[in-house]
Amino acid sequence: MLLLLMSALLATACLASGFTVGGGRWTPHGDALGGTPADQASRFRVFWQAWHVVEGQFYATDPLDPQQMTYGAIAGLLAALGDPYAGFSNPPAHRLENDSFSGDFGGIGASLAIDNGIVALSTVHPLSPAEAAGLRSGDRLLAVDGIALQTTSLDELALAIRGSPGSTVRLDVQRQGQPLTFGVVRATVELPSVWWQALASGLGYIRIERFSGRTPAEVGLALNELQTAGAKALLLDLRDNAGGLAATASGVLAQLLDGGIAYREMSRDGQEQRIAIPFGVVRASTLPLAVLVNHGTASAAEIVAAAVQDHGRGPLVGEHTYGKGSVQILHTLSDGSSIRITTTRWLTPSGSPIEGVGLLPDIVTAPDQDAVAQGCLYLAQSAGTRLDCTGQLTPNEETGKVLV
Amino acid sequence: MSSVQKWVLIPLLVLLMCLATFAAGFGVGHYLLPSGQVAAEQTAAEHEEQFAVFWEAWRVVEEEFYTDQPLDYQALTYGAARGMVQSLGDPHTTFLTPDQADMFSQDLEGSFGGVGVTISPTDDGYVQVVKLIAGGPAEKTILQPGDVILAVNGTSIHGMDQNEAIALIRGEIGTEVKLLVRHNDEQVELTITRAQITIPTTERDLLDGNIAYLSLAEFNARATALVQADLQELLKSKPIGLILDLRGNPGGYLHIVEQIGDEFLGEGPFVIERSSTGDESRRSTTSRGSAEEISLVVLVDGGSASASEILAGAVQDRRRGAVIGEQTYGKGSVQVTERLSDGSAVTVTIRKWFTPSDRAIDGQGLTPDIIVEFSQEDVQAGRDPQLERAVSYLLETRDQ
Repeated sequence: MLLLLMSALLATACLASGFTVGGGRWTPHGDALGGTPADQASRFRVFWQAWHVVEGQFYATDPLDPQQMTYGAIAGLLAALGDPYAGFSNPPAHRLENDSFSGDFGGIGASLAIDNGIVALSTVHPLSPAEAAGLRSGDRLLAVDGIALQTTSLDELALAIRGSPGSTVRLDVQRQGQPLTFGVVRATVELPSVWWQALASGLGYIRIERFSGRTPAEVGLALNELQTAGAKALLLDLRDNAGGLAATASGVLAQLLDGGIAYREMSRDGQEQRIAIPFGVVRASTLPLAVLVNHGTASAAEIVAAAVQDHGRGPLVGEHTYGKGSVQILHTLSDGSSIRITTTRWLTPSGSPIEGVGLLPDIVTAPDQDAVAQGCLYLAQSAGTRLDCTGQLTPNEETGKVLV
Repeated sequence: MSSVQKWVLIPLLVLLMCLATFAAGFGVGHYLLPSGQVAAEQTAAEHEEQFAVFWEAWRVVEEEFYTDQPLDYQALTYGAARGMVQSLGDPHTTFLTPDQADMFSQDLEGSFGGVGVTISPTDDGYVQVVKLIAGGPAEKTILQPGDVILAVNGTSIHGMDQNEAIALIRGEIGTEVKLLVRHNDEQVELTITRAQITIPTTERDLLDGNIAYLSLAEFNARATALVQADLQELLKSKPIGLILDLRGNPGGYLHIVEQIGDEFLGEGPFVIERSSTGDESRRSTTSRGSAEEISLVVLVDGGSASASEILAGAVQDRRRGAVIGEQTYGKGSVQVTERLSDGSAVTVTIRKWFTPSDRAIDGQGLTPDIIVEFSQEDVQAGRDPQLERAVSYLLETRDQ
């Protein structure tokens, strides 16, 4: 399914993922089917027969690429599992995937956008390496490291522009018809996953777009800033949050709840493990809280929502959630490609299954009702304070752009 | 390929199914000789280093995958082979499990145990009944065109490859199959006893005006003999012309289309085949044939593919007759099917073919000499404007 490089970033969103990250525990060797029944080697012989037929007879206009065929075999192996969340990423796709999970990467601090087939630096962010080098918002991108653009895939361009912090990337751009060349020294660029706004009269709004390694820290920053601004209640927006790194859900919960169970994990041998909410980082355990959810709230986002609901911390407001109760391992292979497969199921703190079930909100909103207003009304009543629920949320302007 | 091997041209997906829009492939079926296993081991050894990441992935699956069932290593192996073959990016190069491969060769023989329906995929991941085959078991049930098959013997076919669904529905003659179907918005379970289904290969008719009509459903193993018998019968009345109907014909065996082409075409070029390395093979028809002189019309449509296009292309290039109807499918490649040691198979594109005047039709199809559309209104009114045009064409050319 996800063989296209382009889809790598989207994949984390579309697949409603909850990931753990595995390391390269196995040393590669081809001696075959360790740990499998003895007849595996003979069973697998048909695979090599098929390969042999292809090598000998296929009408190939370009020479056969054994690496692509190997990647195809891995993708086919995973497809045969019948696991809708299993997938393979080739090394470039895995780099983007990793950037997205870790929440930062080496880059220049500008947003790329495409308009009518023209790729431009739509925003050069303040204090970024791109700004320091002299690039300006609106510059049209012509070449990266001397190679003229041959693609309008923003993900592919992102891979070319990103690199290790401290290294230099050369960008040829066009500004008001003039060609210009800049050398930009890459630095660490953060990929925000949290967006917040203090609405008029004491309502703090926090939107988590996905769960990356940076998410708990960003939520901490948001809570500090909102409370400093005088927030009397919190509206946590998890709508259309498809998940991400499952482990970071407990890091977020730790700031909203005073300990307890975050969720339960069930491994394939039936063993249940309770994942505790870490202590000592509570920032807002008493502030009235409501959580917005919808059909797109899945996985790690459902872990947070379920814990808030089970612990009675606040109501869920919105629509029935997606119901993804499985966790995938993201395993990097020795050549830099990666696979992801479902390794565990998770249950809510009280032990209810999520997979295929989802969470029913405490306050169900009709599709035409404004969930933000509903959440705000609840918070105003329960907090016993006056909240102006008419404030406008500024939409996130980065949609459709790729940060490099 | 040695000359001993029998070249065939295989309708890829014909089941108890139709495949108006599916094209056919050529193939050679033969089992790998024991030397094939040695070759497989050599192949494995050659790619050992590059392939190591596959085994890493395999072990992660073994150790970590969450499943209630034991891992099905056979399915994983077939999955790997399917993925490897798919990575070549050629829609006509495919891996077939033993069941699918058996089905494939049954189609070549033109008969198998089935329920007697033709099916096509639906948008929502199931298959629907397109047509009931006359005299088949399904005709005696409530099944009707448009019914959607949801499950076979309790197994949901949702998201299944059409071939997989077909393999489940077919089976030994005399055995029962349970179909869960959506019939008039209701779910109904039917138990049907499989019977021998023979795909009707040819139909002949003598039309008004002493015009011979011969339709050919596919170029299967029995087609040459049937066409020859039909021609003998039809030509007795000294018809003024002959209509060869290849509409919806997805292809079949290469040697069969050569034999059938030879009935209609005198000595001359028939088809050019080229390998990716540029090796060329030119095939010709001979002066042997029973219908080489008679005025000829070939009817085609978007379902005419592969072998049908070879024949129509040769008729067109050699000005043997008029091609009437709609743009054809456009499948200009040749496949070989190799059976592997456990009964599974790979079908691999090995050559491209070109018409006698060296036209490539892959992805484009042939444009008929006279284009006649077949509209939905025509279907409802029971009209066949393409056949009507063929008749009037033959009457006009006779008058000239």
